[in-house]
Amino acid sequence: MSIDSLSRYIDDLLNAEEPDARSYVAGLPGGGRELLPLLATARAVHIALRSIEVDRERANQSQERARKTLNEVLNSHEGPGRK
Amino acid sequence: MRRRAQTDSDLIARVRAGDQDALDVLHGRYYPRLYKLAYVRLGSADDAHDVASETFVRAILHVRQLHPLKTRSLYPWLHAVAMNLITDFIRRRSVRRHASLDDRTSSELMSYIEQIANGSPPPDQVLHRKEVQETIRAAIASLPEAQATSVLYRFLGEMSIREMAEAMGRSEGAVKSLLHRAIVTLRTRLSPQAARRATSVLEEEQHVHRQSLKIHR
Repeated sequence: MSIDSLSRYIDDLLNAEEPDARSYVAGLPGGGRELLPLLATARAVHIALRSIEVDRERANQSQERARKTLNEVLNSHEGPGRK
Repeated sequence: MRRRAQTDSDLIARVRAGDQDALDVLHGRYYPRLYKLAYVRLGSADDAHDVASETFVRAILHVRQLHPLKTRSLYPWLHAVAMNLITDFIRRRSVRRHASLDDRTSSELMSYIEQIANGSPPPDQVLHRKEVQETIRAAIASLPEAQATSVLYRFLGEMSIREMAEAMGRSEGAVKSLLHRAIVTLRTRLSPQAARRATSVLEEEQHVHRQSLKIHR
């Protein structure tokens, strides 16, 4: 079924494999001609999202802010783990 | 799904006990995903960093509520917090939409998709071009809400179908179907014809805006 094939293909993409789209359409009616463009679209979305660059400096600043916030919470009257 | 060396639940328990290293692991795991989520929705790198950072601060302030997790992944909870912040951003300012959709970019994308469909080695370089990323970003941002969420949960959250079903309160079959519909919609919206329509809508909006400026002068 094409919905299951798409789901398996995305699983393999996320597991950093290099899936050959054609192997997911084997045995489907019409040779899976309608499914292939969808697999390709999923791959394009996956790579485009993965390729968005994250500014390391801003990420480090955020990490420092998070650490500082945790310290403040721990030092406050009610710590994060207390009721 | 990939197995996580340290589960989110374990890390949250350690953060609750004040373990900064555990916080660093969670930050390293989720900050890039939250940044990308906000970037997809807002189209602004600066705003996306603000959202991702603020999301973490709120998570720490509410860390007590994070135990036990509804799902094995912390991502759905962080996603919800980030989406509230993103909604606030959208209310405060107009968000760039469809700005970079153009025929050339869409044609390149369609060519890429057809080559994969035909079994040719995929020239992934095209996907690293800013214009192409922007086109895909805008297409995801313009999806109906549930479809967009399914794409972002799956690709950014790297959630399994089962985790998505738990987080979305739907059956696994319904989640698979929703994701399938989202990919069909994206395929349609990334076509050159759709790009032309979006460009003409944008031009029309700009024309209306210019006319309204003339009237107010």
